[in-house]
Amino acid sequence: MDRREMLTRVFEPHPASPGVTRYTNAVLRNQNNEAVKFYDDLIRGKQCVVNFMYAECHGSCPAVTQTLKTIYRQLKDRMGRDLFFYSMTIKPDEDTPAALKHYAESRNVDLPGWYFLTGDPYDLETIRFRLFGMDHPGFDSDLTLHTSYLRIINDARNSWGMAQAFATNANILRRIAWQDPPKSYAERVIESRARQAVIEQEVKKYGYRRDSMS
Amino acid sequence: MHMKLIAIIFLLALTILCATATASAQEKAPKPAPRPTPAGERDFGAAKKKCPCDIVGTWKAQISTTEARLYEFDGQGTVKVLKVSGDEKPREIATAKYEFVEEALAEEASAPEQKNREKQISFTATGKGRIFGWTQTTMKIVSYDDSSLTCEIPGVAGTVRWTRVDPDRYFIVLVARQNEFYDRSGSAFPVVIKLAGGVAKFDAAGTYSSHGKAAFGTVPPDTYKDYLREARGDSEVILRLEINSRQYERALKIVQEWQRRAREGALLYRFPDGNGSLNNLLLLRAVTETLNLCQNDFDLYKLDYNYPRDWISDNYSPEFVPFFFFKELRRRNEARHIEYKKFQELVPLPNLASR
Repeated sequence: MDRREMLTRVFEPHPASPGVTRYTNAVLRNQNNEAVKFYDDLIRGKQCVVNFMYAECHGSCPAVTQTLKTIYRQLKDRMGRDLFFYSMTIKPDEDTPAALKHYAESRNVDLPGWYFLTGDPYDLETIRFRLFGMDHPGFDSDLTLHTSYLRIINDARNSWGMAQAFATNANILRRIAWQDPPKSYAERVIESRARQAVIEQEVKKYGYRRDSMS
Repeated sequence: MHMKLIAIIFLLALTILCATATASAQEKAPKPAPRPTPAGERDFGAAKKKCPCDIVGTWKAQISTTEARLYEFDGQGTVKVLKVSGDEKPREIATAKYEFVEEALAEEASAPEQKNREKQISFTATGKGRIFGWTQTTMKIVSYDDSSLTCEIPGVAGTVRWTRVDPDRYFIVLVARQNEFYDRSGSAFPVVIKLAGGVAKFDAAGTYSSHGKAAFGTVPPDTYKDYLREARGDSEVILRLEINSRQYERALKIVQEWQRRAREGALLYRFPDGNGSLNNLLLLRAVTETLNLCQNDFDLYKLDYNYPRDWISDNYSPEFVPFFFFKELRRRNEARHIEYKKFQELVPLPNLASR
């Protein structure tokens, strides 16, 4: 999906979504130096994974980017269609769109549906606290702490979750799946039947239910 | 019996005499000098900030006991040099275009996050007079803080120290109350004051009382003026400090940012459904820390949630922290505190709301 399609396709938010009051509608710039509104263009009605990073980071950021790259490969079919990655800088004074473009290209992550975002420090700090705030000034003022978490948002469901960026890929994928769009009744019946079959097989073989929930 | 009575009277007289002498000695004893905040490792939770080098303004270089030079840098890249001799009126001797240049030091280029940049000012004389005896020259800044800079000038042996000249005066007043709201917490905010040409400009932001309830944002004049008076009792703490222009500018920027956040509904902690008092903690911490950004000017308490050093946030819930934070700052900076009577003489407060 190109940017035009992404911006013109109708993504319906949940009626109870807090919208701009939580997410703000700050105007940010992506690695292609395109202006985007944070809620209207990036969050509204979509499912996304948000993390904070900065281009000159030599600590956790490259490792988190590498993890996201692996996750991206596994969710490739959905990326840019109904799932998006947003990597936002915590050092907007240094990270211009060009610097972020260089960061993305040098790590082979300048991919469809994955945006690296910069903007006004005032706006980025607001978004950082709104998405990653822990109601603790000591933790929240520490920029580095926020680079090791992933915020998973689905505005169409008005739900969000958190994942540790250093968790296993399976764990992160499961947490992203928890925020997936609701499935149809037919899909859920098919899934339930398949799971029940596995449970029955396990009970028959071992006498008790084993690991069929994972 | 008679002897006992004399002994009791004697002991009483001795006790009164000792108490009076102690009180008198305490009054006359000089206030202790503030202890500088110890430099140590980076605070937990604090982003590393650098002291900005701002050359704009007027700087004075003392040439001899009777002669000095004034360098007036404007924001448009022009500098005027004035000669000051004794009681004579300053006389312009040169003008030049200047450019402030920052270059990364070669040996530190490998560690971009810790980059320290060499600061230089290049001058090109525009009038008849030369600058430091040259038509074109470059001055290297060796060190600087809010009120002075040390530089190396070509052709001049050693280093030269310039001090910032500012006709205006600046103050910060930190005020906090308790037992004001239903939860027994109270207002707490900083007021930054610029006194220029006898006119005072006030800016204040923080938690204040609005119809008896806690509100956060720009503090109305009637509210902050009430706090510029003498503190009343133990339920109020007021600390009045004189600061320099750079400290004022930085503190004002923080105050204005939080005024904007409150106005635009962009508070970092959501208010009133979240814990709004945390917004005030971030504001108060930023304002006080910025005072010491370039030099250890005040003895600050580190409100950094680093246990057990930060005993205030460890012992009190967020809405009570500002009161004890300011109380501790007052204790540490008692020698720099401006008494109310003197403050009244310094800062005109027209139309003060009566208490």
